[in-house]
Amino acid sequence: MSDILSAAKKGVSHGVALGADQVEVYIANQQQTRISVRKAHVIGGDVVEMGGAGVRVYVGGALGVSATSRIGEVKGAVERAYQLAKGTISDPEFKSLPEPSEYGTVEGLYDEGLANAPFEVLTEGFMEGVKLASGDGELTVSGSLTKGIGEVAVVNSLGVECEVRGTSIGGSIGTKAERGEDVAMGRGSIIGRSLEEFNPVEAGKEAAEKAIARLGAKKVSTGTMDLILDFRSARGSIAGVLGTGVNGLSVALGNSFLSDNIGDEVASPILTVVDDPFIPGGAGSRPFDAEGAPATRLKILDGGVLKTFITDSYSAGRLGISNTGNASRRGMTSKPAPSLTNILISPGTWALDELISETKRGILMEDGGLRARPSSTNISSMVNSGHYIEDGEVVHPVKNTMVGTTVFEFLKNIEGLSREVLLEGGSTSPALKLKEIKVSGGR
Amino acid sequence: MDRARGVLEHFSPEKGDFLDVRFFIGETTNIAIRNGVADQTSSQANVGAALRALIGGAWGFSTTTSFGEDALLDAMWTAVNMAKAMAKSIGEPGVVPEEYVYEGNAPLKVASDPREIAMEEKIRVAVELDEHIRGVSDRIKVSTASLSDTVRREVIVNSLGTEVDVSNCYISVRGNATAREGSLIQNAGESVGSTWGWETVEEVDPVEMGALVGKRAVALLEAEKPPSGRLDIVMDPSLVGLFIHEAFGHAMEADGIQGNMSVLKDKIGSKVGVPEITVIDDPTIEGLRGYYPYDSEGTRTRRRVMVEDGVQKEFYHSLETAARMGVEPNGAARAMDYNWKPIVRMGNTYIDGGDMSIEELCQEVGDGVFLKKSGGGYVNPSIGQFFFSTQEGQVIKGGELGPLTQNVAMSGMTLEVLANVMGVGKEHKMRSGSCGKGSQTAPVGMGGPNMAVKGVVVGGR
Repeated sequence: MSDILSAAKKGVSHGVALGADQVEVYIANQQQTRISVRKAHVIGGDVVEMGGAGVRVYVGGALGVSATSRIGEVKGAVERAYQLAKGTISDPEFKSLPEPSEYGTVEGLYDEGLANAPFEVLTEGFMEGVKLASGDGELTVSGSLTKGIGEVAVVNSLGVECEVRGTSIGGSIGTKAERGEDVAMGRGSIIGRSLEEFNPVEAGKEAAEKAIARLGAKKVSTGTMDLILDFRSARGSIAGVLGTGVNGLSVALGNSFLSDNIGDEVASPILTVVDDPFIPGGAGSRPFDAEGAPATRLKILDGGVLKTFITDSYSAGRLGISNTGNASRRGMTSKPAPSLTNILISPGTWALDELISETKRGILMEDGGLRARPSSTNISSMVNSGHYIEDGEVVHPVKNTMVGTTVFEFLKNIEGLSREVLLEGGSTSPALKLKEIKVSGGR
Repeated sequence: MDRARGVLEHFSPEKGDFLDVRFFIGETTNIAIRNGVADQTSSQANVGAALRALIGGAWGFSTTTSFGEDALLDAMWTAVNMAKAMAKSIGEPGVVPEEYVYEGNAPLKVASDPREIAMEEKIRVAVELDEHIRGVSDRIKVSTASLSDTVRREVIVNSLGTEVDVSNCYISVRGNATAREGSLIQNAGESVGSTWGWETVEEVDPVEMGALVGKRAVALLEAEKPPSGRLDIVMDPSLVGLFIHEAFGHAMEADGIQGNMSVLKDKIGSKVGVPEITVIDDPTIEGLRGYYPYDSEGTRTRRRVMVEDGVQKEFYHSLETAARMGVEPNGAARAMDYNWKPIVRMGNTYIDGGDMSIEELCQEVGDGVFLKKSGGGYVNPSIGQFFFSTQEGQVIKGGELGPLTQNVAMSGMTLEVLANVMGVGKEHKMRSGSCGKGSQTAPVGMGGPNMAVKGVVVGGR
């Protein structure tokens, strides 16, 4: 048994002995090694221990939460949470923490190659990418690289006892291209769990190419036109909009735009979306969620028809539906809440080039996405990076341009998906085309 | 202090090298009451030490949650070894100015320490606020009242002789309402925050704040869709604060300037806006959320005149960026906790007041839109392009304020906005915010008066 699992078990026993109805201890421990790069050179490196313990204690339906950065002090945290639970207001909607269950197997969460890779070697590789990103010194480059080795344990008083370890490699290379007063940015990313996915050269090339291609940005005039979202923008938009809409907690509270819509056609009939926590090595992959419930593969949209909400134990209890095992935590003291893991958006029938060539007037949005305001059905987003399309041709990059729509229009107005897809970090996304969206321009 | 000194005594840094130890102790409690039920009752202890080493021009950084001597020594060796390993890959060597050494002790300055307030009392206040939000209308589907307090202490000791012990308190009360009519969902929020103690909460009237939040959310259900296109606008103090912090403030951070990632590079002494614009950042104003007497490197803070009469005067500096530019450090290096290094940040940033009333600003605009109640945003300082959304707006027609609109978004180019200011108002207001940069958040203050600007792209739904 690992140290953190044993510490979590002791914490749970202590809570039960105090008289708690239900107790959960969540411990995460990750060693991060990071480097920072400015003007295409290393500034320095960090070695830090991230994590700590988060405790939930229920007494008579009332919840106390506490957290500590010191894993050795779980017992004190349990006592604090117990006192808080005894002093606060109970929640009649709380049913129970998850019961013990069997977990599926997920491949590729921990990679020995990455775990054992000396950071000096990763740094050298990263700097090759940085060099390419700088166009051999012509362009300004900044960036960072983080390698993580960590473990997570969840134990509760109902008998849940699970732990998983993982590796990760994440980085970003940003390139700034300049031509007189004209400036543009390009970015390349590294995201993965294995040494095999460490691709600084590709990230560096992408950053430089995109920065140069975005020089000469112009303002466009205000009007209604089509919007093409590149792979990452499509993924970000679908995950953002759908992730809010199908969130079981929001549905239970009544602030989701979806409610009794299971079985309804809520999106374009060409849209099929799956949430899959079992993708080998995916960034969101996991055998169990943040409260130890088994993760499940879910078809969320099938041909535009809503099939399910995503839940954690609390929202599942409130809605009276099964727990889909989608709990995640933002921090040690925040209550888990449902969120998507890896999303797979089914490809369409269009070639990427056709999405553009069949557009009379439109905007191609890159490396961004549409964001809905929290608890609102309205969407307003800046086109941080994008290009103007006229008569089927990409004409010039754009600046100072915004798009506005609603979550309903966004989902319904998807009229084309590309055959090509981007597989990145465990998610799959085609590019997509939205018809007739409101664009505000500075011209 | 002695323990940190003890660690540093094991090392004999060469000229140009630098070591520091920063102990961090943070205690936080959070209460959130949602629809009459306790959604969150939590407390957090965030304790650890951060150790930095600058050796041969490269930085190493390490952390430990233990304050034991052996653990601290191990962590410092990790930082030193990391710096040595990185030294061969650096470009311009890192540098710290030797002539600035600070000694100080700034204990907590609160009338009522929130750690001594019973949890029952905190819950009572949140329950009352939550009730008054929901009490406005049955169209409010979700009401949330939250209270948060953090007391943090940093002890900073470095190899040049700096010894600083600084404590601060961050407290906030928030009310939020989500109103719904059919498929239309609208949201409104209000918050009060300070670096005073529990007295901040006692000054909040839950009846008044609850009614304000609830009424605003319900009113938005009936509001018009916002106009879009290139329009003349008036920004309220919350938007002016967000603009000056996000769009302009981040571009004034010297780490970005020196990394060639800011549109304000080489602008010291240059005109960056109309002469009516003066930008101040003052982390010494007690009570405001961006107050801190010493930064996370131990540098004593001071009032900073960033832009005076439209001319750029100063940038934000850490020890290192100040040394590179040959200026005195101005106390802008802040760290979120012990797991992150100090980076260049803002404090209380504002545009200094002008002399126009809101009526005069609307007259100046004629036809346009009044943007109110900031709802967040983001910026790309290297290009100077920004995006903000607001919770609501008001149409300006014929120089008069007209009907309420749903949330308006605005996007623009930083330097164009400051060059196109049509008028600066006289009613100055500051608000609290949390600023995100490089995975770290920092409590900040921001504000100013109302301000009219020509030809800004607005839109959204």
